[in-house]
Amino acid sequence: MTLLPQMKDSTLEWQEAIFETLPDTIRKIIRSLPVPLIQDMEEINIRENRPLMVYSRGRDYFVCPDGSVCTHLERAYIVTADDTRELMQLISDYSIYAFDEEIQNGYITLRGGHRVGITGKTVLDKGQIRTMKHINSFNIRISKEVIGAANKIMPFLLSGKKVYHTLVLSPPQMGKTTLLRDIARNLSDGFPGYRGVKVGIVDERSEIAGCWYGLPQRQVGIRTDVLDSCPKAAGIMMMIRSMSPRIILTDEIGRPEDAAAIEEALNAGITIITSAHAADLQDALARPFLSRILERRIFERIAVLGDSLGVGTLEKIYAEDYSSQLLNRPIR
Amino acid sequence: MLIKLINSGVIVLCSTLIGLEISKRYAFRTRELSALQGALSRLETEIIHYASRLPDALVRIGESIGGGTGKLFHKTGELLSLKKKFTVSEAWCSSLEELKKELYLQQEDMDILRRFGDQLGSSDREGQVRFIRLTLQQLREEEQKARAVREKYEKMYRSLGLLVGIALAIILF
Repeated sequence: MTLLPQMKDSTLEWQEAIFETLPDTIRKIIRSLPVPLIQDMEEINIRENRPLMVYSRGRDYFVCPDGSVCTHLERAYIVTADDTRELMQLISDYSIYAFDEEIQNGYITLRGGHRVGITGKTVLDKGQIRTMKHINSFNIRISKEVIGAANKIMPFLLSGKKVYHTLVLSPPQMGKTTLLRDIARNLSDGFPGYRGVKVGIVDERSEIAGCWYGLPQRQVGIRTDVLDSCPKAAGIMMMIRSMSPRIILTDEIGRPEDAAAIEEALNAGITIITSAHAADLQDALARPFLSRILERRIFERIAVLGDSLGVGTLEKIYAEDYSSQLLNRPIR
Repeated sequence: MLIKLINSGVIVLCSTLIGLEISKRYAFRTRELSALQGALSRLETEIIHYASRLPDALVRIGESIGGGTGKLFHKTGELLSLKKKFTVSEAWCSSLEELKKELYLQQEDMDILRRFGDQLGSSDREGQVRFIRLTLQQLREEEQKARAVREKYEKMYRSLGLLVGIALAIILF
């Protein structure tokens, strides 16, 4: 049983989106890398005056000007100031001014929902980060969508037509966002035995829907509306008022105002599906904020992710009393 | 005799036309400078209020403005959206170079525009706005100068053309 069924063959799609944002010199080099390395590529690291690197198949490689990989630093292609300047123009579509907020947050989302992390010199204004200058380090992170990641969990989240208020707990990097995104797709598109309903996603960090100019780049479902880069609490209220969703989905709750917004949604009869960082239910109950929310018994299903059978394993699902488990063994 | 008369007529006509052509350049330059200011103001709006992508904004403004300025914006936008081996400043300068003939601009105007292209799209919103305003001011000053020059020389070249033609005709007659 696998929670992560076959990956959609989107190699060409992401390659196009990534390659068109690279400066000519670097694009040519990356293009001529060995094919398996390109296919499994997870990151491209571009740092000014330092060697060009890619992360693929579990380790990083220096890249040589001829497109081969090497272990010797001396032969690697060294990224020039022109490269980074051009790259910045290309990832922002020549419109750096349109990315003020993104630059403040330290990343830019590309077409296709891939993210480029950036670092440079931050400019402060009254203790807040206003913008970043001299951006010289880029981490292009290729994100691959896993359609069907939530198929296995869906039966546990439903009772007839009713969808349970659900909290997904997981340590970082265990496929929490991937799972949430696919839950959204399932509920919005519907599946055999369930007719799709209107879903609202409040996507504070642009990770669930991977919006590019406000347009979701991921399959989040046909009846899904996305508020991109919107603070959760304000976004939930906006969603309730303006879009009348049946289900609101949001990522990583953790601030006191989030709790108030969630209660507001409950009062409006809207189902909340969200996630939080925690290794397990006990761990979550030990956290001040999470325990307060959990003690109000808002959530009727709590799913815990882990990696006992590989990344994205569904370890446990708790019912509303938080003691009975619905899974007798982990599934993936 | 008849041939001489025809010749003189042709000389006067040509000389007048040349005079007109030169005087028109003054009018065209002021017109172009004010069109450029209009285009930049719109670009400022696009950047502040819509945060549009630069290539789209340039094409849109170019289409609605027309003329040499419109072509300059349109061409730059097209170069950028078509494919990506240009930086903004490269695309801008190459369109500027290509449209030089149609723009009736002088060296100092071109310098302002070139400097503008260097900064276009490459800073945050505030920086862009500051830069557009600076360029607008420079263009406005140039336009004022151009108007003064135009008033002085436009009529002069027009009548000078005619007069030189007549003088030549008389001398050669």
